[in-house]
Amino acid sequence: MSERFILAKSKENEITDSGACGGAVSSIFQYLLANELVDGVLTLNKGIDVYDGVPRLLTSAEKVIETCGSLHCAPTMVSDLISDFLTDEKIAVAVKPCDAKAINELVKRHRIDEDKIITVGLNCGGTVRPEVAQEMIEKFYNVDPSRVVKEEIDKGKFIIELDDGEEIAIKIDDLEEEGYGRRDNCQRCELKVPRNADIACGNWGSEPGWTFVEVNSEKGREIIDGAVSEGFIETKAPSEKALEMREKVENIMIKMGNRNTGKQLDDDYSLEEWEAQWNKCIKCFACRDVCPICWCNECELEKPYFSDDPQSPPDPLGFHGVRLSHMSPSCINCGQCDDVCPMEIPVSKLFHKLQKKYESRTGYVAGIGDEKPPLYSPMKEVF
Amino acid sequence: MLDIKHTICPSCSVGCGLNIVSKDGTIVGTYPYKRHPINEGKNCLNGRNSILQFDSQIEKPSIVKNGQLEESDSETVLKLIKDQLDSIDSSELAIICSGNSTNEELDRIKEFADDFGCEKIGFYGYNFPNFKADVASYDDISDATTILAVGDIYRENPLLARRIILSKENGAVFINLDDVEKSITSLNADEFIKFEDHLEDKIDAVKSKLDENSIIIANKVCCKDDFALLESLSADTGAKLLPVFNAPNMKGAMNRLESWDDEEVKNIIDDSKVLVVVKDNMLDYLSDDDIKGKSFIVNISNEDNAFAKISDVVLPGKSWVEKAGTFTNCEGLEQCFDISAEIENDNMSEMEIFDKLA
Repeated sequence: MSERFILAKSKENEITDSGACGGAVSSIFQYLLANELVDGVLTLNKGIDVYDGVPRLLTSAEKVIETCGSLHCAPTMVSDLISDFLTDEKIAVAVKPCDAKAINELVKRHRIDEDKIITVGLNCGGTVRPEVAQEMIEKFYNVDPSRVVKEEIDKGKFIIELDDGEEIAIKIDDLEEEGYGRRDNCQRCELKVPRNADIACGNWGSEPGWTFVEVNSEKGREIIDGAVSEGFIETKAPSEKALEMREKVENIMIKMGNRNTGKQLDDDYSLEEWEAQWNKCIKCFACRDVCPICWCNECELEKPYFSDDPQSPPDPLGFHGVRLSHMSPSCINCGQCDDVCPMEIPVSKLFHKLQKKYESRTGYVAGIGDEKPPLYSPMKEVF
Repeated sequence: MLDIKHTICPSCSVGCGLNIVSKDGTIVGTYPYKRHPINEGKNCLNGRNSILQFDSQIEKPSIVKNGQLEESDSETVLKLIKDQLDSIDSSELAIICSGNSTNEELDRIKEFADDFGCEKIGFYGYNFPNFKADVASYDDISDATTILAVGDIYRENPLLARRIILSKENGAVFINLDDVEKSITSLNADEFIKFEDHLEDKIDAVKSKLDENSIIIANKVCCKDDFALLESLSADTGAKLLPVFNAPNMKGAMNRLESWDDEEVKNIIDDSKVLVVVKDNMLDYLSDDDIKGKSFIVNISNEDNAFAKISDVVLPGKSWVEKAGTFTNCEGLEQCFDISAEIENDNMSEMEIFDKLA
């Protein structure tokens, strides 16, 4: 098979019933584990409810069924789990576009071995913070959040399914106008189909019971061919109309991302407002520690010459400034730094803004392709 | 095998959620627990660093000789303790607990003390007396129009400070009282009032600013009298009071046991022949001279510290990641947690230790 776009579905009924749109992703993972092509599959498991996503490493094909389904209220990042704890193993991993971007940057930094990882991308319209999701469901959907058994983002709507089968959908635009909906970073995201993963899967352009798959690499092609020949999935070609539909949905989402990037980053804080933000900083290093890009063997920030008076906020230039210079060219706008900051400092706005400037000057798009961030500015490269 | 499991952060009494990452029975990291309603995946450095205790810990039951721990076994150490207990009158035993044990463990220890006839069971409360009145909730911080913080909440309890920040964004006035020259909390306050040694002189200065829509948050009091002043301030103004402690279950301990100050603990040591200390480093608040050579010290803790070296025997017990149980956080919320990492060791849990000693 050599087509770039295919429709795929699991050949196991249990998976098609419980997996998202055809269950192809689950069956591909089963194929990889059953044939010992990977040591493990890193995916997201539903924890206490639909608002709780916990990364889980599966080592047997039988367990894959337990992790089926989408979790949009779990804004996780898995790249650091791979680079910190799984470098000795060959794994396949389910990735959102930002996960795939982080893995791409970590491969460039030799923190993840490209030959030991298979990335199965999941199209992503964004994620919602768990607490925000519950408050939003109570306020706008008028239901008890604990009654939600499934959720989905589709056709510009956040859709919930209740325990009695009832579905309620509200336009994401309307929710976001009220300050709810997706995380700010997801609203600014311009990569919806993870073409930086080996395959990108989702329901955009798919038929009921089928997963739309875009094959992005030779590795991805081998996986699809293997899963078909071993009887884990079946495939067919999508219709022209399906392709058009998918492109249309993707373009609408990208346009929304562009619009939100402009709106959020152009209406940024004044210098005085930023100063008030920096005054809250307790230098707990949460933003550094969670950042999938910010990585050095020895962190400069812990050297004595960067130590600050513990009774004062750190010098913003000596802390956030150093981080900015180290990682902003490669900032992938995952927003994890904002998510984990105990003091609610929106640091990602600054990093993302700088990355966008860097991108416009150098053409370097973080987390995509094999190109590394230019070490020097284009002006210097001329010399 | 990589495993990620939920737990409750052990670094203070706020009660944040934390995910523990373990691999093949070893704790390797933490991971944000975004579903947890208190902290939504945000953890301070103390919380994230709480796993550093596993880098250096006492792994085996030990007998301390000349300040050095000599590895032994549970049976031998338990026999030594039993021999000591058999040789004393019930009034000569004191049990020092802490807010690091679960509610279930504290109940078991209390049961043991009752059966033994031991009345000297309590914990060091860092000058907070037993306080059983209603405390403010975290939602009360969000809803407050005026917040008075006593101590450096921003540095020591950042996830409570976050609530103050959000409340400030909604227009709340924030006042900080502390005995330091400056702190991150004072720098972020609308008004900072410095006190010398005790709060007494400054109570009038803040009284007129508080009402029933206010909240008083205190993570530091110099003595029990200072806390009584805050209780009176709360009663006089209608402001709600939220004492914040430095151990995850000190509120649970407070609900069950006597809270002692350092003088009371010293007196108890002086009057006892056997001292059983559970998950507490007494050198955090007493000197070596206050403790050493006065009684037979049974130290139930895996913390490899100076206190272990002045103890007579050490039983490591279990670390919090190996336990299931409940902690009561400072707002009074009892939170259940399960075992978050399967660590291979044959140490007895605190429950088992007291079962065996009974």
